[in-house]
Amino acid sequence: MKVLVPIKRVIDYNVKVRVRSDGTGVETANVKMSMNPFDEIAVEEAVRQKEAGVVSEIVVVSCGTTACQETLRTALAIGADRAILVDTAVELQPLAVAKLLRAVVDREQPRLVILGKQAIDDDCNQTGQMLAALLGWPQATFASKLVVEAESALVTREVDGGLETIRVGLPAVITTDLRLNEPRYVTLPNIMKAKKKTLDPVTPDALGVDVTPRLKTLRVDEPPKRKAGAKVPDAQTLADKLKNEAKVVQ
Amino acid sequence: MDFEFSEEQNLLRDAVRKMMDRVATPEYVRRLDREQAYPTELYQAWVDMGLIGLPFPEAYGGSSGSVIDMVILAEELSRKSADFYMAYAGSIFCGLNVLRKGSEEQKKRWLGQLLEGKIRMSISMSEPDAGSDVGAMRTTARRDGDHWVINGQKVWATGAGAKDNVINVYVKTDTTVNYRQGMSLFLVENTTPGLEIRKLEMLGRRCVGTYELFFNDVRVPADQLIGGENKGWECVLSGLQIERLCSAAGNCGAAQAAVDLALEYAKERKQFGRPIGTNQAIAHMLADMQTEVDAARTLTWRAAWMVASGRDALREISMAKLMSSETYVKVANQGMQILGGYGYNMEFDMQRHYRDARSATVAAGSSQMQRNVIAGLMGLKVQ
Repeated sequence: MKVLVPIKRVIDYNVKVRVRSDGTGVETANVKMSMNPFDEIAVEEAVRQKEAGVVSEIVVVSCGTTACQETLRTALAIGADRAILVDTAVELQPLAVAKLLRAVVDREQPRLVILGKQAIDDDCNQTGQMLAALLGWPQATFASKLVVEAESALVTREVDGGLETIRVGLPAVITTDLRLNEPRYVTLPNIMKAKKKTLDPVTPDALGVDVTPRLKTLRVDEPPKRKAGAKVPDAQTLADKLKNEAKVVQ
Repeated sequence: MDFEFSEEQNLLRDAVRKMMDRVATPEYVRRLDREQAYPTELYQAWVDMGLIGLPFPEAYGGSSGSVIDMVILAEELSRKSADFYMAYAGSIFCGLNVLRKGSEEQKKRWLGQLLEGKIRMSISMSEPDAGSDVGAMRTTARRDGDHWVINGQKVWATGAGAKDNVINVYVKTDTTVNYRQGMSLFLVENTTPGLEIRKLEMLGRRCVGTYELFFNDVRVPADQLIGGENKGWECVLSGLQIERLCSAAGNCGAAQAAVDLALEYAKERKQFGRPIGTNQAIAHMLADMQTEVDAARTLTWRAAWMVASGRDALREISMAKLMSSETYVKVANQGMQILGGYGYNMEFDMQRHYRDARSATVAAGSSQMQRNVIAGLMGLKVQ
């Protein structure tokens, strides 16, 4: 079974993100970038499925600038078999990415697409769902456990009331939640092997996809600074304030 | 000029940093330092990740990594603890000696076990009366049939007492000639009868540990002589440059960790209503500290680049070793000042840097010996 794992290059989760002084976005120059953690979980899951003998080939794909090659190499070092870079300098929004991925799915014909439930930069949580809709495939989002069978997959999802287990027919799109697995650290021999694996570039034009942004970012602002708190002399004053000033208690 | 690392090198740094963050947590480093315990779990993680194999050829299970890869690794491992890095360095550098000087049979036997984590290796050269003056060495080995019999005493043997450790010991096999022609290298399992090992009480680097060794008629099979009889000095020379270079890189990583710690504290610690880092006195200290670490790192990278491109870099390596070790001591000292009472407290990390750093200017060739080498290469006849 072939699996496609789309991955996104994002600002590393350890970096303290700063808004650009002109308010057009966040500072990305000289900032450490790495693979979106949810996508890393997706790659890890695919590799585990391959090690279990369920999956035969893992193809990773990333859409963005040539810098994404580094992120793809990381995925290859974790254990993916080959990589595709959809090379574009255009700012990509979820719908454009979903369309690009649909085109890649048409070419590659995977039985399963596993990707992060959201990217930690824009937190959109849309690409997986849009892709499933465009393909007309079933989707199982926020997976915390995955069992792949011949014609279907059992997916456990963390919902408010507890755990929900659903069965989806294949082919399907699955998005990963944090607790699906803990990604391994890549080993040195695998980093060396990753060098020799194929990384094919392709352009949105070649895939026949128009990636022109549909949404316009008006302005990006710093979150408001936290205001200083106030001390209250006793519980009675606190209750009064909660009731009359903050109006959070009736 | 090109200061770029390759894609694989960036990947290597990221992967190693991630693993170290996960295994060598601040709590782990503090606990082991407190208990003076060997970093067994961390060493196993290095084995699992294939790091022990980094510089070895693929034929022996390694990854044929370059000297620049080794420098990256030295920096990253030492960021958590210069002490822990000694466990790695011991195995790698002793293993490289076997690779360069051992017979095919010896390479197969020892490198296989080393890369699989079944054994570790450590070096032992110094003696009570023989430090920088290697020629004053008195421990000897004499041939007895299929064995060599070692007698004498060694000191400052880093990591000698670790479990499954094989000590790479240099001893005299011909006392009638200059040590350069009369020294040999033996591999001695640390459980060999007649060998007594004592852990010494040291100021810092207490986990991997510093040991003294007593050899009383220790019998070593002849096939554990590496590089041939009286060829020990050639073994020493063959690895000296890369060892000093990696030692310099390790110092840079550890020094950077000390600066990071001081910087973080200066941003958070508030006195008189504002972070202490907003005082010029503190801010300038930190600016100087980072500048010096970057200077040391640049010297180290230049030396690494020269070695990687096949040039002789004795002068540059000696400078990098000198500058980086002195810098680690300096920034740890300044870090203590910035952290105030918290620096002096054993529950915080700066005192560990302060203690660990102090050995950097002494071990792997003292600062004085580095200056002798540099001055010599400048045409000065230093007595």
